[in-house]
Amino acid sequence: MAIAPTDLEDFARRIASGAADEVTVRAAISRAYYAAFHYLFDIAAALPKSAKCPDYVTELTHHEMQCRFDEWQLDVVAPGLSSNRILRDQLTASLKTVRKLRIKADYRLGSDMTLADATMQLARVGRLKRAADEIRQLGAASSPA
Amino acid sequence: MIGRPAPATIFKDLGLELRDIISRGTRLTEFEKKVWDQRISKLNQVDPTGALELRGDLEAVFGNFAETDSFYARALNRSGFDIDIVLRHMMTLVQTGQSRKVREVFERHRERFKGNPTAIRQAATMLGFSGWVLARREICESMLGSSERVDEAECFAVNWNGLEESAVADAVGESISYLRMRNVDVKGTRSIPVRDERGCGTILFELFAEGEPEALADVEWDLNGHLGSLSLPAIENEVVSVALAINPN
Repeated sequence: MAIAPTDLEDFARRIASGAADEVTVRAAISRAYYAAFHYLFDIAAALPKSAKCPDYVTELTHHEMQCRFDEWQLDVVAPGLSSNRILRDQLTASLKTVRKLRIKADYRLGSDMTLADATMQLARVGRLKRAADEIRQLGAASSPA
Repeated sequence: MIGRPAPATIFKDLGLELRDIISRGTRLTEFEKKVWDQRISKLNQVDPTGALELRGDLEAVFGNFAETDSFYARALNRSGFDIDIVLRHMMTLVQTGQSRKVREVFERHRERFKGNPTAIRQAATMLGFSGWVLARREICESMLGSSERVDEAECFAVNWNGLEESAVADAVGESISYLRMRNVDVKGTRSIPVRDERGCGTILFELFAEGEPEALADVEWDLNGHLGSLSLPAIENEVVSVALAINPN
């Protein structure tokens, strides 16, 4: 049975409740990142391979996704969007933050993480989802009928 | 008989009120400024040194930072060197996002801090708040001894990409300054060294603020756009990421 990115986000929201212990909080932060990764996946997949991507890498890795958005050749997805540098800066910085928080949640066990961190991560992921939806809408609006 | 408030109490109350205005980025009208002028003039009659400090803070509300520094320098001279005045000056600089000046003021008076661990801890905290994570550690180690625990110890593993620590302080200062403009009061900061997928050590610098998560996420989104427009080396070279966090208190 397949799942959608929203299922990951819903799961993260469900477990990030008032009674969540730190292990659960960290799991919510981590799952929320993966929701963001998958919200952006189809857009990143449509972008040209990054100049930094080694030849042997054929999959869209986390780093490769970041590099493609950094290089921001978004005209491929929605004509005219490559010139929107503000959106590029907003999206790439937010993606870096959710990813770093995922790394912190999964690997930096000595650093405290709280329910407030999970709540903020989820809000951030919600903002990234909105941006992804807007990019898709712009792309769809410019596509020939 | 009802006693009149002591000058120290008046100074403290006015100072706290003004500090709140500074940290929240509240805009004062010209009329409100005149009212503040009158209140400070009244204090001047009983506490001229305190009045100089408050005039400095009032100028900071209006972004007249050169005047702020000048008033604080005069207050410090007049006091015969009161370390608390240096600390309050640093606090005003922290709250207005002037990270480089926070360090400058501390270094200018560094020798005077010696033998005063409470003041050193306060100064170190303010430096860390402003993005000087290595300086904070250095000060704690060299001036307080190695027994002091510093959370940012692992920042030494950060890949600085040839940049100075001041580049991080610049990014943090710009962030605080922008957030103040958006009336977001930064209550505290936290820096975490994070190794990314390539194995590069970077800093995640979190700024604690109060507000609804969705509203804070929107402000952070705008902050990202603002920082990107400034082409800050520490952001462009991925040495630091700045994020908002919900204030736990």
